[in-house]
Amino acid sequence: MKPLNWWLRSVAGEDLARDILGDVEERGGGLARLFAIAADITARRVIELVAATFNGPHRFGRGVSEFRHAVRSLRRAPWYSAAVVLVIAVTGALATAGFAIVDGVLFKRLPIPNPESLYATTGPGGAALSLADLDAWRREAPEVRIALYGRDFVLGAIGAPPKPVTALTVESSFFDVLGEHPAAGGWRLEDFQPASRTRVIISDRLWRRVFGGRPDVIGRTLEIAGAADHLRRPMGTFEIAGVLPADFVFPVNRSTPDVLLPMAVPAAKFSDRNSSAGRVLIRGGNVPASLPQRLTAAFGGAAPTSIQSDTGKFELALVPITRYLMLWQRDTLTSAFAACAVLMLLAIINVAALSTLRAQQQAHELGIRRALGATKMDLLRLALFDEAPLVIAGSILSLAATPWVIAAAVERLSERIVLIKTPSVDWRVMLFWLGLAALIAVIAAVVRTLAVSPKSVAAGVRGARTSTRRAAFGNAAVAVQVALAFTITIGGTLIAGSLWKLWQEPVGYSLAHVSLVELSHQSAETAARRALMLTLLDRVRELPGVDEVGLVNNGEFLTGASRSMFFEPPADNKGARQPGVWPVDAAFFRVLGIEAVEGRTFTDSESSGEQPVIVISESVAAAFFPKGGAVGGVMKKFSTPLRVVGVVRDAQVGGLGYKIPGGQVYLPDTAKTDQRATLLVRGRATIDDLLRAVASEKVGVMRAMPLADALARPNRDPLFRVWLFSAFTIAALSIVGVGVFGIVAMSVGRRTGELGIRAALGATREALVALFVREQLIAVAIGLAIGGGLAAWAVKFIKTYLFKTPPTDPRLWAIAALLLLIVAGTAALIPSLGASRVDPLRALRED
Amino acid sequence: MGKDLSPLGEFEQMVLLAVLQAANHADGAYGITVFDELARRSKRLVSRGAVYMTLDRLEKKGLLKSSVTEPLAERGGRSRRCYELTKPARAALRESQRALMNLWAGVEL
Repeated sequence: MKPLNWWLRSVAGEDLARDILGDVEERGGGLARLFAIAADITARRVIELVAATFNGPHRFGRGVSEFRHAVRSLRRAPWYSAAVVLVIAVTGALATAGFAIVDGVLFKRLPIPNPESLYATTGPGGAALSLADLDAWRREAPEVRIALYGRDFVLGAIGAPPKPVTALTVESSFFDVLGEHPAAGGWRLEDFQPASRTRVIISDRLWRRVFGGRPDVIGRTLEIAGAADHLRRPMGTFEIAGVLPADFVFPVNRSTPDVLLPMAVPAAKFSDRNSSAGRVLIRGGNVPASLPQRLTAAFGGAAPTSIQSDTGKFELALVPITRYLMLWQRDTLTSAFAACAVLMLLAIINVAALSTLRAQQQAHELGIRRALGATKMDLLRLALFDEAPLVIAGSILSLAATPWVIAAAVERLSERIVLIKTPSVDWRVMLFWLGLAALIAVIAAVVRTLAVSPKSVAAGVRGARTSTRRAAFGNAAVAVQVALAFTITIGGTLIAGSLWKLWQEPVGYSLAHVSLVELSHQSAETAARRALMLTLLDRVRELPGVDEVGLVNNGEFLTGASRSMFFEPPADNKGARQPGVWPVDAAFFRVLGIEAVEGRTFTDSESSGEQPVIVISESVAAAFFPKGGAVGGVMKKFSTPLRVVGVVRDAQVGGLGYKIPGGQVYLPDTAKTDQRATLLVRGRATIDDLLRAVASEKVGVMRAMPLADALARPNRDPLFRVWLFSAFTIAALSIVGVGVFGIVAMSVGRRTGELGIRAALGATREALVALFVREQLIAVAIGLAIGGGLAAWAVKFIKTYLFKTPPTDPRLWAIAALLLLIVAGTAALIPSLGASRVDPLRALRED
Repeated sequence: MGKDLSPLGEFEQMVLLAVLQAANHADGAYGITVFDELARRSKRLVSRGAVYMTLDRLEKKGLLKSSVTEPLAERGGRSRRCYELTKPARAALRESQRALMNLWAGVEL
């Protein structure tokens, strides 16, 4: 109700809107009546506005009558009007929303001073440096300022249900180099002492979420459940040192961290070249092109592997921060851009084609105008006036829909995309929207004016028919539209088909009725953690509806990260890839329904990890036991021999579609309870029940959700692409459908006489329908052939997004073609069915 | 806003007359009663949006004046805006009636 009230108030004014709302409340009729009144008033206001614009100065006086004439004449061509309005509304909404998002990502200036003089470093291994390397750089290039930042990580969680808090460690010079400072508070030098590191600067978002935006936040404490640093060392309570500005963007990360931690480094670390401390931002006015070489040389021939390629070459690059941001976003946005451009082209062709057909229908009127001395410019003006009401109506509808499309897109947007500004309908977006509407109107009017040749005008004056030429034009327009739409539809079906395949991939275990609870222990002592974990496991097991609880002694069950352990490769396969290692208990296999393909899984007595046994997945068995006989065989973890008791299928533990290349090794190692742990619960207990069961002061809940939801999370990127391309595909299909419908409906209208004659000569209803549908289907077939060629070239742009799906997958191509055939066929059938009911006598008399 | 001295349109005249007719209702002449009178007596398909906008415009032209009632429960706590004709409106209507009657004089269809 609220958007409707807002709409009514906007068009009718506060007082009148109140009267109308009161009347509707009193008389009844509800939302439908309110909507009808609001739409009616909107249309009248628009007409008033346009009329007032043209009615003022004398030279516009003629415009008013032409506009009114156009409105009256369009009312007599409802199919044409509806088709054009719909096409403009759909395209306008998608394209304007697309522009608003792209504008918020690419075209906004970074909210930091002089972004042009800020650089990030890249190298084959991410260009991470040790503190000793950093020191060498600072000595080599004193003309630039360098700030170090660590990797971002999940610090802990806040709230119920828990929401992860992300953190980033930064050096004391971070804000000076970035040129952006906290909006309130800040760090002191002593905050960077190794013993301290608990005074944090929080994001504006976290400040609002946790402290409700209260101004006296500096010095307050911040409790983060399960807080641990990036080395998994538990951290206590934090103190707020400052709050970042609302528009703060950390320009090199996927998203702005919730918390900035001071990088407190022990003095000993400064000489350690083997431990990487993080990456750097470099600020310098005129950075010479030779700086990367000088910095590489500063390592003295022992450059870190993070700037070393596989061939041993050092590749360090300084990338301006404005360009660095684009590296993350280029692929998705380029494909979205291309699809958007094709859609706009499709809409312009569609409107131009419909408009031209309409002009050909009006050839008689135009002929008379030409005969009375109207120039081509006059006809162009007339065409513009004829388009104007439809373009205005379509554009207003599209603008009304744009905020909804933006909200839906932002919700699904990949986390990789850094929104410098929240997309909204601001003046730049309005300008784009106006430009798009004007572009459609002008191109349609120009095409239409050019298409009405003197010959056809002369024919119009004589009242002669140019049916063949008109039909050929209509068919060509359908073919071009189908060709463009086919290109988008192929993209849509390939991407959707690819995701379908991803979902159909066996993950190697069962997800049904399994929930995941990630815990972070606050205690630094292993024994205390173990005792608490056993208590929590018992509490969860006792919950009604819980069948089984498995434990992964590692908080990163789903990220694919595993304990780093080295297994000695066998003599006959020295190149065997290292597997990922998961410390689990016996129940883990039962909860996930993982059964041994060979041998067995762990017994409950083996869970504690005292027995030197392991379970391996099939790809580990193939790599480490190439001659077979894995069960009973021995794998050496560093030098400790471990006996393989069973082989299970490979599992996608890192999210759908993500396979650990080396396979999995499961280790019964739950006795040394890790600081982070994952409970996998099979049963019908709700997430709330689970949260209550694990509630403890000594443990923080990082995540609690159905396992299937957690697995889908890493698929945000492919899901966004599916959403994006589905929206474009649906829009393209709608435009083609509307286009074919409009063309056939207009063709039916002008061929009433012909239909009458055919009916009078004994043509059946089916024959009349077939006449129109056949004509359109031939055009559609030609369009599919041309579009096929275009799509074969265009699919290379989306090839990298496809999972186990060749870009030439014949089934998906067939689905795309079938979709277009169905849409175009149905669109041609509806007006044809209406026309086939023609009464020969009436039709001939009307003609 | 300055008074608009442009002549009355056909629909404006009909709305003014409907306001006069609706004024006889117990509830006075407000949106619903004006619309009902107009629809019933003109036997035309009348758009509600057009009626509301015309009432608003006529008030701005100074041809109608309005007063609001106490808030009413059946209107969700909102008041009714009741309209009545101003002197210039009555004069304009009489003028229009006289012009039409002169034109009709002696005409047979």
